[in-house]
Amino acid sequence: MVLPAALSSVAPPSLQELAERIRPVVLARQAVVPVVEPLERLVPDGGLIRGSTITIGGVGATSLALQLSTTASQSGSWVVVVGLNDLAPAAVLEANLDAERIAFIDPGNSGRHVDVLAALIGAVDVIVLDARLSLRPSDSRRLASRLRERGSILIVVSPGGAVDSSLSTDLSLIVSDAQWEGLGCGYGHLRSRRVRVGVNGRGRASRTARYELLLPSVDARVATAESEREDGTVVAFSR
Amino acid sequence: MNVRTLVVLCPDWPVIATAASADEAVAVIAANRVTATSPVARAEGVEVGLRRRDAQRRCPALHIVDPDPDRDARVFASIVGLVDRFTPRVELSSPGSLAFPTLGPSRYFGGDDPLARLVASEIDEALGSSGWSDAVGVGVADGIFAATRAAELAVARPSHVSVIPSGESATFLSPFPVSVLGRPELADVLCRLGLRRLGDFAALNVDDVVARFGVEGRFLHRLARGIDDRPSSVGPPLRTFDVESVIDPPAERVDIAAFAARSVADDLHDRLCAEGLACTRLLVVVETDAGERLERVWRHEGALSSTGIVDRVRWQLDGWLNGPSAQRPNGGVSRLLLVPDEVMPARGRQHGFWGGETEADERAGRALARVQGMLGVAAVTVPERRGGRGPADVVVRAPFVGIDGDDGQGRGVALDAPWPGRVPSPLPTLLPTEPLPIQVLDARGASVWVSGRGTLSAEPSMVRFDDAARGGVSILGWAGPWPCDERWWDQLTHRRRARLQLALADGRALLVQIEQGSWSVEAVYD
Repeated sequence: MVLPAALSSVAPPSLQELAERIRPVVLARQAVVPVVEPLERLVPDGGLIRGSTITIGGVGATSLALQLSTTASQSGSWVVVVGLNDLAPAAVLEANLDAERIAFIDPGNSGRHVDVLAALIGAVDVIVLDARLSLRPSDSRRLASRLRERGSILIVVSPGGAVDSSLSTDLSLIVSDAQWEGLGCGYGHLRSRRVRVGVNGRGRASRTARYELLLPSVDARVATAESEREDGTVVAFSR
Repeated sequence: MNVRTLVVLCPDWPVIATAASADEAVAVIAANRVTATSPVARAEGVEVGLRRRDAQRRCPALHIVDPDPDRDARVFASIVGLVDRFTPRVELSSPGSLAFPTLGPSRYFGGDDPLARLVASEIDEALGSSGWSDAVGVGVADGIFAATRAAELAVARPSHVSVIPSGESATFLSPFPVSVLGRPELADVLCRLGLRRLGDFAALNVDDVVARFGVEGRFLHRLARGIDDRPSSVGPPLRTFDVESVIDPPAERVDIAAFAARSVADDLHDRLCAEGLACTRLLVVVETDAGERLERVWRHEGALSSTGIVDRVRWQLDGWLNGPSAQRPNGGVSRLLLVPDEVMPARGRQHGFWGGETEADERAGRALARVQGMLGVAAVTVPERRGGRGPADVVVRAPFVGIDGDDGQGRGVALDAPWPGRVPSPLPTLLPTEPLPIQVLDARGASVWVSGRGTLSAEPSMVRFDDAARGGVSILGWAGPWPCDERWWDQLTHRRRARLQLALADGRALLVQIEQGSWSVEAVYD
């Protein structure tokens, strides 16, 4: 192709200059996806940091994962669940996720879940991954760097079980000490559950703390569990 | 300018395509609503738009079929093949309906009326051989909208033909209710304004309609006035936008070819968008390595989106590759050509008012479509509200069908029907994919059971999982039994069971059920 003389005489900018010019003003990792108010204390910066990996384990992990993605879903982000074929879609909608912006992917035993994740990262904001789909350390590293680059959030859930420590995570949440309320011996029904959530983070999310939550609360959402002292002041459980 | 058009319409097509027999009561139900019925079902009172449960109440013997546009399109290919003998210019809009301009054919066959009779008898004979006589209507009028209305009327006539004389489309349309325009929101407003008939709407001043209802209103006003629904700005594209894809090695299967079509469709869509154009009529040419060639024209009332284009290509391929063996090609699909036949200025899709589509949705839709390409269409599902008592019935997973802009209805519909005896909120989060047998024991270690009157034999105090050799877990709290006797009118799907909610000492909570004397975990509260 023949360029006009005026155009071709302009020296092309060097790669470094280009990189400078197109660098985003806000880095992807500085952006935060908000979470519902009772969970703000659990996560650094009061939201899910874009590009981060979060692992959730223990009895109640599924509920916590759903509650963490609620606000994102309500504000227009897509939530895609990879694996977790036993996840009840009714509970997903009850947790107030937007039915129009959620999808479930069943990778079966095709062994292609890594390709699926690679296709989803960058295209959807929140990816919920079944911890039973194992990732090789090399895959895990590759996905983590892709996540940081594209700004999606990966939530790895292992319902009822412990979390695989080989995964490079930014924040790990362990739900424990579940106590159900509302159920008697032969009467009532399950209404709410009091749990403790242990938080363990590294890097920017560096912190170790424990919180007490109602998960779910009476309205099938999440709330801060408050234990009232005699003098009426409210104490949140923390260490 | 109005084009004299012939429309062939099979209103029951989704039912006919299921290969059901004509004397059976069949209904196609999508998202809990009846979308098509067989004549027998209609005679029993099953109407389009009815809820599943109401339809079953009116007609207990109703055979329910899931919708499958691919199947509809595949079977419809044989009807298109019949009409191909009259004219090469067949336009398809959706399975069950096709149109062609009558100008040439009617001169050859001696007028609109003989032509319509010929087409109707040909199709009626073909359908009649499989038991579906009297299921087709052929209408001829000025413009596709009036011809479709005429075809709807023609279905019930003995001759299956209704020809509206030239220039009388407006008079013919005027007694129809405004709801036939297919815009429920607009019809609602018009009815409240006292304009119940198309004639009333057509009598309004164009300027007033544009001022109140915008471009869309003008388009519908033109329809009501019997003016051909193609806006005057529609025409052949000024320059060619044809896109082509050579598939190497040739694709033997529909899904492989459709995957290739996806990138071409995106390409075409982008190129048209860049010019501010949208495609309303599309010519899809498929060639095989054995030299066979199939051309079809697809038309869309609005503008074809890129997923819409892929769907049309898939339907066409499906009808050809999996159709009757006489028409089936010998080779694999080697070349795909998309020619936008008619374009119009893209007015943009402004969906924000009744549910929006954003860039994020489009990006996610593309990624999910890619995953479908990797794992198969059934691997990607979305929630669909159905209604029911158990946690597995309220919302089910339905296959993801792509984002077509105007196809989002039904998915998020809130069902306000009460379900007495439903499992109370909060709902359990996990549903075991395979049955998880469990033993529920009383304080003495004997099995607990539920009597026919719905009472427990003893207070449950411990559960034991079958897979764990170790001892049981003690029960802190329990509620129930909640007996549930569902679908007793149907032998095949009848289920009689009782549920118990259990809170276990290790913090877990379960929803267990007893059915035929054995306990299993129905759901887990995680």
